[in-house]
Amino acid sequence: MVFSSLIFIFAFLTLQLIVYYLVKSISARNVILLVFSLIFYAWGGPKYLILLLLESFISWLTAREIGKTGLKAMKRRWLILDVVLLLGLLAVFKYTGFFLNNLKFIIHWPEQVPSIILPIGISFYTFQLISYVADVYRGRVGAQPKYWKVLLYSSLFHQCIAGPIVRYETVAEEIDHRKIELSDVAAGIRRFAVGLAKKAILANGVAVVADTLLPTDMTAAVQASGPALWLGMFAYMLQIYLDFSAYSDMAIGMGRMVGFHYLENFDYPYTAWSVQGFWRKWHISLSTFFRDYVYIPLGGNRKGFGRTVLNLFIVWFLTGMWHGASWNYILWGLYFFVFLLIERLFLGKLLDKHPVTRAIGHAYALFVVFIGWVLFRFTDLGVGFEVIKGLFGAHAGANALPAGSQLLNNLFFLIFATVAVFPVGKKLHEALQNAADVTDKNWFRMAIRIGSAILPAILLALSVLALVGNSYNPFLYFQF
Amino acid sequence: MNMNLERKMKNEESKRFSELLLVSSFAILMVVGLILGFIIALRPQKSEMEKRELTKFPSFSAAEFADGEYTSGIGTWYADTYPGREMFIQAAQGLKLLYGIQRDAVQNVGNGDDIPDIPVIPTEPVPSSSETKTPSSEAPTETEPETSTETEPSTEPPQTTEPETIDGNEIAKMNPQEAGDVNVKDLAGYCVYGFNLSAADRYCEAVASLQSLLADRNVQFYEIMVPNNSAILLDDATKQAWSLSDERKVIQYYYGKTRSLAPAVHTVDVFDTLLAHKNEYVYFRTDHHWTQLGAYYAYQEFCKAAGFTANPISAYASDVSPTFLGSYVNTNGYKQLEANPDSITYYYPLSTNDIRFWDEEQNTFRNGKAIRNLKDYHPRYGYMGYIYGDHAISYMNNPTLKNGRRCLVVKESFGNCFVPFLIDHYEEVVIVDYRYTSDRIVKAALEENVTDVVFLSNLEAVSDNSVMNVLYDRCR
Repeated sequence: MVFSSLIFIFAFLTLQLIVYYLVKSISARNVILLVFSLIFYAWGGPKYLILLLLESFISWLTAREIGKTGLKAMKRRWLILDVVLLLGLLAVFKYTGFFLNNLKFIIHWPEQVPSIILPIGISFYTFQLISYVADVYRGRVGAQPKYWKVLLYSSLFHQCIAGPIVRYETVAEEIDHRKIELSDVAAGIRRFAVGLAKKAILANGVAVVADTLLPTDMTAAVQASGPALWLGMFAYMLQIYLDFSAYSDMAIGMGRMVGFHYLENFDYPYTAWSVQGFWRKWHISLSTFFRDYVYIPLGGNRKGFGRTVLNLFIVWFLTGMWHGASWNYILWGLYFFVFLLIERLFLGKLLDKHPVTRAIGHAYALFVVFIGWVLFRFTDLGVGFEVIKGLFGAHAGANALPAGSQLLNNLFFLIFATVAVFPVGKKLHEALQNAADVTDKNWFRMAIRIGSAILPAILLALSVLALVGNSYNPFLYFQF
Repeated sequence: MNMNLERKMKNEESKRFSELLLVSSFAILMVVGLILGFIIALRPQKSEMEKRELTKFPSFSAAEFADGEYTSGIGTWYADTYPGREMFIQAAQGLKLLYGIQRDAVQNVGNGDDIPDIPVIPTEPVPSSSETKTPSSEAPTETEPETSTETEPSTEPPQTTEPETIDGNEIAKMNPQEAGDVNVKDLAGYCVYGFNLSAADRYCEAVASLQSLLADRNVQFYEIMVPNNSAILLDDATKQAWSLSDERKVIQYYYGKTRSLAPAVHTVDVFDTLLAHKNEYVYFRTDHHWTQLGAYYAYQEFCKAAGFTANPISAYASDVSPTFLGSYVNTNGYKQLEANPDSITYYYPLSTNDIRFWDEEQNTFRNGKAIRNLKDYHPRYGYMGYIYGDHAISYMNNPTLKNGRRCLVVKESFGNCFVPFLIDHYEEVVIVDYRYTSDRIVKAALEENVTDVVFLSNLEAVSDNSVMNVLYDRCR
């Protein structure tokens, strides 16, 4: 079940909220959340539920043992056991095919590569559980004595299948102690509605432009015109942010409706003026995960320059690989490693000198990220490179008319979607609220209050229109 | 101070009010959505707009449940049959008109195969025109035919029975090949045609194959290739910009190839005829077909080749349905064309309007009217008024004529508005849609003892390899 589906919005979420608000005690509410979460997860195939239950059990057990023992070496052993088991399961389900295919390519064995279905959300809940056990190991949080509460944490439908990767410490307190204020519910609804509209109207809409213009195979790639590739990739660049951040918005919003406060996962990444800045604003819960659980434990930048470079290399290799079991994702990760290294060496300081250099840096960062999305989009590296060639004029003879037509046909929509990736709406909302706070005119204040109050309902209605009207509703991040 | 405090209180009140309004308006909408979703009776079963049955509630199986197919089926069913779905879709499409400037839309380019030059074999003499006087051709003057806008009042009510209801399956079969590429220029849709050499060769082989099967029976073969609206109506600059294949040259290739395989086949050029009438209403703006007026001009050319005297268009009784929104709107989704709808004119045959056709759904023959004015139905059905759309086989019998000539027409949907003109010249017209029949076409030709065979096809409709393989198979 995806968030942007009618059955989720009108059947699942509505029922969950009604039942949730009907009961009053926190433990009953937790049970309700758990039951709904398990149904939500099982909806995508009950057999994969076993994996989620098992990984949660392993992590609950190892964390409990870590909490019990006073011996550092023992703690370490339990941690290693958990990490090996969880990453082992992730490797089996996510990377077996990739590994065997490469093996087949090199040594022509095995002849038949088994196709293993990737269980939904495994990349997300595996990382959440590892972070939990690691945090218990490091003494940042206490071990959760109850298995079902660990399961509640890992399976919570808000973030289980599409992130953000919520740390246990973020919600540890709120699992047992949370209260819901009207303002929380209102803010949660607003956030959810914005996310839903972002996904259903904007992301799905720009996806149509991208899919129309971008090639799917080599034959189409060599015929694609430069303008078509630029516009198509531009639409894809919008799509991937709008789509992914929309899911985080909805997760954060739904959490807030029931009293959880998850951390932000995106901070308008396309406003960054360096590649490093971009990664501080993009999928924050993933980059901080790799920072805290890989880079720093490896020694970070404290063990000399050579080791720092190696650590960065490992982190970005893994970041790429996490996004998908395919070489293009690994290349995409290493591509950023190169730019991050350059920025660390000298470019970062250079760009930070002056507002003008930052403006240049902004253009540079957007360009680097843009080309990065080419690598990301095309799992077939050959097609990806052909697209890059086409972007820089290699397909001069191709017919560019469809690109021009797409631009005109979607001109206002594309402008709107572009504005939406910058914090314009947010600033406008804040400015209006501030104006309402200080005004003496009652009618003006009420107009703003009413307008902002009914906006989420309007967004919901428009989103439902778009979802019904547009059967096109894929979710990009399911494979991760 | 007091003022300030008062303002502060009012502000706090307004904030609280705003939050309450936000939560309640959103909650009401969600609960309405929840209730609406549970009223099964309100759920539509089929979509008239998309010409399809909507998703059924999945049947349970343990294996499908285990890997999530069952639940995913429920999700699809829930969304696909949500009450008021068509209304939502209409509204959503309406909103999309605001996305940009949509008077023109170039989503595709042709990029067809190169068209080989083919030697032109001299045409055989036209078969001797015998006593082929048609019932109403008392004044066979070759006067300039009148344009379609000049509709004569229906002298006779040609339809005694009410048009039968159009069921979902008839609708589903309206346009089996309409997935062709379409661009929009000045609020009119145009076919984006790219030549496909292997499909073309297959088509010509099919014609030649059927011809060879009937060679010893002195059956006259006629091949009519109908160009697309884009080839006739668009200016050269646009054709070039869209990388369209040159359809005049393509048709020459078809004719040359056919005659190289079967020199006895008469090829009927309608390209230049349609071009000469391009300022008349010969193609629709919202549909991939030609109008019946366009088909009439092709009929005139056919008559010359077959030794008939064509009836003047003024001889036919006609009816108009004022609004027709065809496949470009309904299938290709160019909602903006609704602002520029077509009208559709129906010309009734002079001798008979009766037709007997195979109804694939009910597995039986049905009797009906070859021409029906569908003005009382949704505008999307207009073209269904011609011979009930596409069927495996249909028969028209002319009670007023005995000239010994019987015609078999092998066609796709472009033939639907063409064949009613033929019946006035034949004792019988047999119509086969090769996409629907599972029989060998030669069987019908022998059974009905036909004297003439007409292959009439639109270029786009015969540009698909798999469809052409089917045709070839039926022609063996």
